Amino acid sequence: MRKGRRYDPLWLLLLLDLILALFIMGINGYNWQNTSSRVIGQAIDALAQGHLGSGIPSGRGNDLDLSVIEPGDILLGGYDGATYGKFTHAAIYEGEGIAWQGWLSSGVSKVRIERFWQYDRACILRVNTDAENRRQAVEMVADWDGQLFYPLAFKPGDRVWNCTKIIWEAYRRLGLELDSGHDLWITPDNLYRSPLVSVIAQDGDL
Amino acid sequence: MIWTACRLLTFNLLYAVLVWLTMYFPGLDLLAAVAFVCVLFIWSRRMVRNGMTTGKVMATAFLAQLPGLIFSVLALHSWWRYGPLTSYFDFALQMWHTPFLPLLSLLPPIRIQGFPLYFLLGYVLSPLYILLMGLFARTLPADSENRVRIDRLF
Repeated sequence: MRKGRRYDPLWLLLLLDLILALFIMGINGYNWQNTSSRVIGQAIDALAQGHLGSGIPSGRGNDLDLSVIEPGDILLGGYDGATYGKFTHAAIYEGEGIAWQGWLSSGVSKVRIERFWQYDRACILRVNTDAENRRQAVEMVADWDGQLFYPLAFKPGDRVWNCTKIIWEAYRRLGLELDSGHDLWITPDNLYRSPLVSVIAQDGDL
Repeated sequence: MIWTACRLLTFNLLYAVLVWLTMYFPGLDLLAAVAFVCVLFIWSRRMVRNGMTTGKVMATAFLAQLPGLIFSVLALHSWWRYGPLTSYFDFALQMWHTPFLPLLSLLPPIRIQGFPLYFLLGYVLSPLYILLMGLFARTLPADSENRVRIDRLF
């Protein structure tokens, strides 16, 4: 009787990982020409330079003018040496000095906006829509209070979040696509570059 | 035992990538996480069938979970020494436990002392994994006819 060839299931699992990764990249328009300019390519470049994670605070901080902020505005902050861009964190302003963020140790949660003074650079973005839409976006994010944060959360789905996905998803449900990169993930830099936002204030090492 | 632990550890790593990728297709990630627990069940039974005692199965699981245990200890040490979330170990811990993440996402969004349940559970998932493997190993007698037979898997 012919003996069947045995494949190690761990190799099959590795193969499945690779096929699934290539499939997801493929349906998102990745190819040999454009990968270097997209999030994965930029992350690989950053990693090659030893930039891992959300950057290293220099301690300089910034003097962002927070007095101009309005409910629904987007706050971005960033440190040097991050894997995924100039800006590394995002939050959406609710009012009374409070914004909503996605954070590992607190999930979707509230944060004092003064915290953004700690970043080496920070800015306030205003989505080009009416105040009612911006208020609705904040309410939507508030509904996700306490839900799970995962830094590598993809755009689809509403159980796993990161700091930018909560903002992007809230505005997307209102018909506003803020992802200028049209990528697998929505990065703070892609929010910054969106044609649907205006920079209201910015400061620091930009 | 060491060889099995290395394979279990490699399986955890590769499966973490798989679960992360299945998150792109909401719902499939839940299926993948449930399948992970099923594979652990089958694997622990297989170890018993190969002559391991429950204690040895748990010792193997302990070795396989060393990265998770080390990240937990380092994160807690960093927390105790410098304050909460002052290191990358919490992130590393979450990455390591990605196979369980879809199940954690189903937990109610309750907070204990300001910290969400899913975050606090991250610190005890490795010991729970070891206990679970031990429990699975003891669930059915070694000569039970109800044993799941996937002889070629591991």
